[in-house]
Amino acid sequence: MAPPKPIQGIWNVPSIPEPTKGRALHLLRNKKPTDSPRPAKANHRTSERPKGEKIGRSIDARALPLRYTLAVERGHMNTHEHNSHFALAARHALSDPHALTPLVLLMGFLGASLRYALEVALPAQGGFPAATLIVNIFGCFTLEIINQYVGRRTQLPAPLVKSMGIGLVGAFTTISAFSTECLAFLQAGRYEIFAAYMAATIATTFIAALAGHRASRALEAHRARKTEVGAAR
Amino acid sequence: MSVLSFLAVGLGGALGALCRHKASTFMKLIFKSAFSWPTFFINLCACTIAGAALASSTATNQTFYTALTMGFLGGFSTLSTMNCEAVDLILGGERALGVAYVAATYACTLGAAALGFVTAHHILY
Repeated sequence: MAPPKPIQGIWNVPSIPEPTKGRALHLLRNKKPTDSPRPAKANHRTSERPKGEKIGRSIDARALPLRYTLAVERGHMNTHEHNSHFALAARHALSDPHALTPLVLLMGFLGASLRYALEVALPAQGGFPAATLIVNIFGCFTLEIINQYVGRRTQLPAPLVKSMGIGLVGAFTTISAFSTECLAFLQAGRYEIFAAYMAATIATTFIAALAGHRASRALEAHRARKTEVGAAR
Repeated sequence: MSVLSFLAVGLGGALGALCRHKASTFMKLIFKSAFSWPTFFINLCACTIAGAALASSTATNQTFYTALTMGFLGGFSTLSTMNCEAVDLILGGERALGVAYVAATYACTLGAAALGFVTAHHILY
């Protein structure tokens, strides 16, 4: 006698030979064949993400901390709402993955008070705000060195270098004081000082940044030469 | 220069730098462009507030004014990051964009300061 056919669907239920009611219910509930292996769960923590994979509308998945990517994939966060990428970006900005906040606060304090000390020590002579100009020139040069040389070629911890760029130099240099000083010159009708200050700031700060770039390249080459000599010895 | 104003300026600068860091992290995810919109918008915002503060400088406490303009707005706005981004753009081959970035920043920040000044003056007096 042939074995009974496996039950295919709920329509066959009345023809089950001799099971109890409970067994029938059990069969009804387990509609999936039990011998097929369960699909392996993807391990998001170790799997490689393709570069530039997008989640939501416009956020690069690699730019976000992993927990948000996972939250989106698990359906805890909806990316199809209109402003969801704003919400994701805001969460990312407010989270502090590298503990930069205290360092940025400290460096910002130092940078702002340094500039204040310099402004007090060098009051505007004849109306020309030399202190702001000097601060901006020096800051542009230093930031380029920090970004191009210190951040790439030295062994300093990355959060420290980043917070130096954001806090120390960022709070040291200013464009708000520059524009209000220009505005004050315009209102006072001192157009020649306005033009001189504007031209000097635009030209010298840009040249300072370029010089910082060149200097960091030169420092890099010097360092490479030194290590080469050291290796040869 | 009293100790109090020195501390106030330092605290303002710390807050301003932190605000700029958070705002630029936020905006870097929103804008996908070679043009550095985060720094541009932050500078515009800072200059508008600075213009308004200049208009109302006679009506405010001197220490508060120093802490706001020298400290917070000085930490919030930045010229060095703008110049470095422009240098990166120009050396990276996008000359027109770099020059446009510098020109737009200087023109728009001056305009924003004037706008803030006029608005605050209109409201106050």
